[in-house]
Amino acid sequence: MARPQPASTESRPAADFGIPALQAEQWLQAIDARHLPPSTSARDRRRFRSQLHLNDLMLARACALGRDAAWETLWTTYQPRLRAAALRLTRDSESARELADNLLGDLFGLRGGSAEQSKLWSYHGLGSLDAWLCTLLAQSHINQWRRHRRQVSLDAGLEDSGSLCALLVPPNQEAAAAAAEFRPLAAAVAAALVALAPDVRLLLSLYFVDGHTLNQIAGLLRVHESTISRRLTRQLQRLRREVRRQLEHQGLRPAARDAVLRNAASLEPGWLHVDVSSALRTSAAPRNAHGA
Amino acid sequence: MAPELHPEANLLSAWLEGNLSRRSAARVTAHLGACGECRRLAACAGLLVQDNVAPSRRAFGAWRPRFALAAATVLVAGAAWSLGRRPTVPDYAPVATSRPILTLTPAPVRVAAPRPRPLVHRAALVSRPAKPVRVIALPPPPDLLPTLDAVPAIHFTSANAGFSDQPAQFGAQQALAAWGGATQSLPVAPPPVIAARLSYAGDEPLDFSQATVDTGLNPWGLGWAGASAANAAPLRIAGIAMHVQAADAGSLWAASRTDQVYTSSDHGVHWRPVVLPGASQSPAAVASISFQNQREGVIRDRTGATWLTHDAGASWVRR
Repeated sequence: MARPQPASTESRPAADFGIPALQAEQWLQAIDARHLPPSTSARDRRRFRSQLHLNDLMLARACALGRDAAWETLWTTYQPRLRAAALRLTRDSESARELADNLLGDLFGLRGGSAEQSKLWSYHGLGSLDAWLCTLLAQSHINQWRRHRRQVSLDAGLEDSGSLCALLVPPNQEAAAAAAEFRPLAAAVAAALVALAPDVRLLLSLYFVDGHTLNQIAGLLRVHESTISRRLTRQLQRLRREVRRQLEHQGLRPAARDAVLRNAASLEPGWLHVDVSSALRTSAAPRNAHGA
Repeated sequence: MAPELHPEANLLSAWLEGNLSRRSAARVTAHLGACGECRRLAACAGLLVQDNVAPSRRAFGAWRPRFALAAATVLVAGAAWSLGRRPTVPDYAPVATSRPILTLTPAPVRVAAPRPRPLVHRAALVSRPAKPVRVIALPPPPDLLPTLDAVPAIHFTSANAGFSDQPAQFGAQQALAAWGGATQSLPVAPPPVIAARLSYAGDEPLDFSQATVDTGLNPWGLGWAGASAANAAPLRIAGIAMHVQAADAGSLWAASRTDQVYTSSDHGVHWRPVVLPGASQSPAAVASISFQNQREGVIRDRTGATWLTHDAGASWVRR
């Protein structure tokens, strides 16, 4: 399926769907205000607009306004695509059809309502309409999956988040005492993780916390798997150096530091994983979250 | 826990396509680094968006120009170097995948660079006949999954000729299809093509330098030259759901489902089934096998159930 490209002019896509140019300009100004700070230069504003998917944006707005021709375009273009995408998630044709049609039905059923009600109004054209719908579809699928998990969790006795925690229980008291000796090391690891760059944190989180494979991460970040492998290796080497530095900051002499590191190599690594994973989850959360 | 505000679908979908400005992309990246919920959504949506997006631009894009010149320099230098030297390890050197995030060890020992050899030695190496192949047959499980029907044998060869870059051979469609089934945290049902993982977590190098898993339909090669603890590699094979992990130089564990776990203590020559308590009532695909030594090990399935052993698999405790 061909993905609509951002249009070079702003008025033509609006005219294609019978939307007045003045109305389209008001929408675009609202989107500018939503995603650009007031101090943005005129040049950056032009660049921002040039990257918008105007065809998709006007199609969505026309659908939200209840234009039948736009709805027909949306339905014929995206219904097969969303059903195929849903099939990849559910692996069941019946569930996939239900998932995709529910999403389109939600969008369709709200047409004719007030302007604030339709979900299509929240599409801003930053990415393609296809990607936006896929994101909504994925969110619906995850919500559905969560509801299902809540229903079966009492029987299963295990939550999905328990997989990592289950590894972290020391098998006996002696092991627990041994693990306590490595708290300085865990503190050094946590301190090293705080200083990670956001992209490195994302890479490590995808790999170590979420358990994605190199291939999956490569697909998500759109780079080759071997590139991810190299970056991971390099970042872990940096992390190790930083841990050594942190241990020195704690006042450990080189001999004691090497002894800690040497003993850590023989320690059950699962307990160290705990500290690393929890540190990755909690430390250095972005201060100004976006979306506003 | 997650920051207060999560990226809306507009930002997330644009990030997945690489359409955000550098500043906005950095914000989304920072959020994803700290928010597991949004990473889950991004991974799930990314699986779908990739169908329509060519591999491109933005994610980690800032790293590209910085390293482009360095990469070109390394390529030229590497090509010149390889003309005069015998290749020892493949270019594709996978990293450890058994998730020892920080196996902290003292400073590595520096190894002297290999001495250059004349070109005539390379020709002699190429013409050397391959060593015989040793075939290790897994015992047929009582209740074969459809995916296991295509797993008649694992071939371990000691020949060091040839190296197959598995991800490169793996088509984009299969790779994307494998994504869902291999992702433990994704609520995606196992697809027809399931990722398999062949990893090695022992301290000593294995006694084979190349392993090949033959599905009976589609033989895929696994490069394993100079296998070591730092060289464990995931292997994705069409039609196979299998995990093989070496606990030490001679002990291997293989499993597809929790009711189909096998172990070998003689380099895979003989295999015996292992019964995990409670696994037969609700069998699930095995997500990982991890042995820290010959006695202490953990098997996890995709539902999160975990079995621990402290006596080399003689007894198991379910957590």
